[in-house]
Amino acid sequence: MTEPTTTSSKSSGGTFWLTILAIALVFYFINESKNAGTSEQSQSISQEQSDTTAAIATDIAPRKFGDAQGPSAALQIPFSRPIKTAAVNDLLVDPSGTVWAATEAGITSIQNDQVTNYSLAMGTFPFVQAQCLAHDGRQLWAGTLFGLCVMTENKRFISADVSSSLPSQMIWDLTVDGATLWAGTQNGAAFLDKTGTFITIDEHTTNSGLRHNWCKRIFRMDSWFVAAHDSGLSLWNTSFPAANPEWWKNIDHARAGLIRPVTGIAYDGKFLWISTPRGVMHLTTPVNRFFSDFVPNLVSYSRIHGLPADRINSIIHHKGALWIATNEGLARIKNDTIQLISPESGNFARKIRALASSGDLLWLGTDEAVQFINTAMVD
Amino acid sequence: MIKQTYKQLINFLKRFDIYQLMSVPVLLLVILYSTEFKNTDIKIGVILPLSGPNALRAISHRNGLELALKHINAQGGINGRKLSLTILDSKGSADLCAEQARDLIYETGVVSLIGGFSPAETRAIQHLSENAQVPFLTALCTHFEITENGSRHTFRSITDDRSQFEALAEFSARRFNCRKPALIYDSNLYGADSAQKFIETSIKFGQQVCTAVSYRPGTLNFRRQIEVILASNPDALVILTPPEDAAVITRQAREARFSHPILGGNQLSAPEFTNLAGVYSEATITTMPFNPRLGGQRADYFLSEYFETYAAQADNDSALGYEALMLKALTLRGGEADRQSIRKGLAQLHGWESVTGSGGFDSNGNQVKPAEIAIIKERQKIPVNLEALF
Repeated sequence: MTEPTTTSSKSSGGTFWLTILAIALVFYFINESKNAGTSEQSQSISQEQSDTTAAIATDIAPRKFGDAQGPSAALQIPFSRPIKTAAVNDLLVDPSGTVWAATEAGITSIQNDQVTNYSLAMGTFPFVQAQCLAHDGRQLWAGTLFGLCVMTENKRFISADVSSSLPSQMIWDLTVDGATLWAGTQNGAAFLDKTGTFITIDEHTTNSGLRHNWCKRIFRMDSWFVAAHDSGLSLWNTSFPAANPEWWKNIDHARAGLIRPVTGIAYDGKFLWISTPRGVMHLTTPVNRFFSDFVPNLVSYSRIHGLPADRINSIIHHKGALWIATNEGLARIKNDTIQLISPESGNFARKIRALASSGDLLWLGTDEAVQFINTAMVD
Repeated sequence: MIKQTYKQLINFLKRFDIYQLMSVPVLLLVILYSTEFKNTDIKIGVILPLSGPNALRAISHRNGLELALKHINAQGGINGRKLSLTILDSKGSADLCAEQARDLIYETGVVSLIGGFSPAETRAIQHLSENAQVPFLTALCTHFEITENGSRHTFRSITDDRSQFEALAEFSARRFNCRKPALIYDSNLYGADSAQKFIETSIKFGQQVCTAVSYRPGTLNFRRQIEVILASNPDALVILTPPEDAAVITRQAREARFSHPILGGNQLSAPEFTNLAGVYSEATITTMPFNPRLGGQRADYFLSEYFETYAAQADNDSALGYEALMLKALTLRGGEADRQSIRKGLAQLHGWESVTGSGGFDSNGNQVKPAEIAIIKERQKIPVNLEALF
């Protein structure tokens, strides 16, 4: 009498156990899918690289500034397959060729075929988001709205000790000049001195040479430090003390017609270019004549001149051309000519938020992915 | 009885082996880990200068928001979920605004933001919200630039300065034949760019601003500025300042025997202006963001509920606060309670009816409703189209 009961019990028990296992697996996968944005992924990008190099661009004539009456037809070239990320705030290619993306979910690195995410959820990044990146030749730095981080040898980001000497923990931009790290924060700019402490540059220490403390974008070129803030642009000749306001030049947004917020700054070796929410602005005074006859004159290029959109999110100078990231795609300015670039086929998030270059490749950070194009194809 | 039940339980458990029994707590742990035991309220962040020089207007706005919250939740919330407001005091500091916006977005996890007062504060919130792609609605900041900078996540439910300036210039030109207005503005709330915008706008209506003077916040004696204005012999004075300063300027201008019309934006329709300026506020021309007659029964209900709740008369700012949260609720009812859906919903709100009347957002997220002009008579704002009745 007992044996059949035992058999029946074992049978139903086995089913029970399997059901529990199945339910557990279902819940596990539901949870995994929630964390999909932050979990480590591995995607092959070598295929896209070869596709990009192999394809041929459609020939569409670029448009001169003067004869434009709206966005011109776009040059269609292959874009790499998107590498999914959270919204990208900044891109950086380090000396080893690894591409780093600061995103709204942390950091993503792309090296050869490997995509690695660093996030708070995974315990490899100390904050919920990353805003900007810089590499000083030795270390990778990540600025966040909660403090400064540095990458350790065991491939984890930790909160940097030097962060406490910054004027604010809300870091909007980082840049490197040689081996010196510069930071633009909510409450002033700063640079890291040889003793490992940030030296603050703000309205007070510069005797109002820097006109506003909220440094949204910072830039280094030749001997100049440029800070874009809520009142316009402040330019400091770093050969002289910052405390002397005579060595600062200011471009007031209301007087000079500079649109704010400045979203990016680029230098073509002679002139300064500024990206804004209403087009690209070109400072017609050459940088080497800032002190001799500095009357800020800005020339604006927007949608009516052939750009794909007025809202410009980023600008970089790469191989003799200015590359412009807009809410509606990518454009290039070369020899006074605007050329729109669009993907030959496939998916592409139109809102490009960040740009970085390395060799012939131009990396694009969008609302949802990182992609690249081969710039040699545009020529 | 208990003993029998216990025996039955033991017998039942004996049917399973140790692994089967151990799998139960494992399963429970997996379920606990997978389920988000969070507050299911829909969180909206609010940043307002509840202390400092603009506190009265900000508190009035907050009261409007809280009254709307009470009404929405009393009707069951949004699709069965309660709405909750996290209200922070920015103390009038743009830096504090930025930190609070950051904390609300990344730590509190709000799905949307409301607030902003001065252009600097509003830009700080806007910068954070655009960065993190969080929809942001301002119902107090009128600075034209806020919705003209290509932002995708910023919306404004109050008529902006550009529309207000157009209405003021058009009315003063038509009614008083003003051709030479003078301008006084504060360098903080309005700034040189707003003054420039008024100068550009007035040209369209055949006016030429004869002088534009600014002052720093905290100024109490405007004699020097008024002397400069009177020396240019204007035929109207446009005041672009906070209501308290506008009241002092109006008093001092009238005392200096300036007899031409005095005009100003929505700041002059705040109760503080008429309270401080007293009889000197008589015949001042202002814009009127909240005209109860346009809101119909909704406005009547809002006014009575507001008085019942706060024992005070509702004003522009409270009505705009009420409207702001109602717009969010309208958007939330039509879609998911996530940031992208709310942004999309707001972008599609091209028309609505609320306590302030009909409104809508244009493609930049800016209010399309034209500014309404009112004249102050016996400390009451009278819409100019009804002036004959009073």
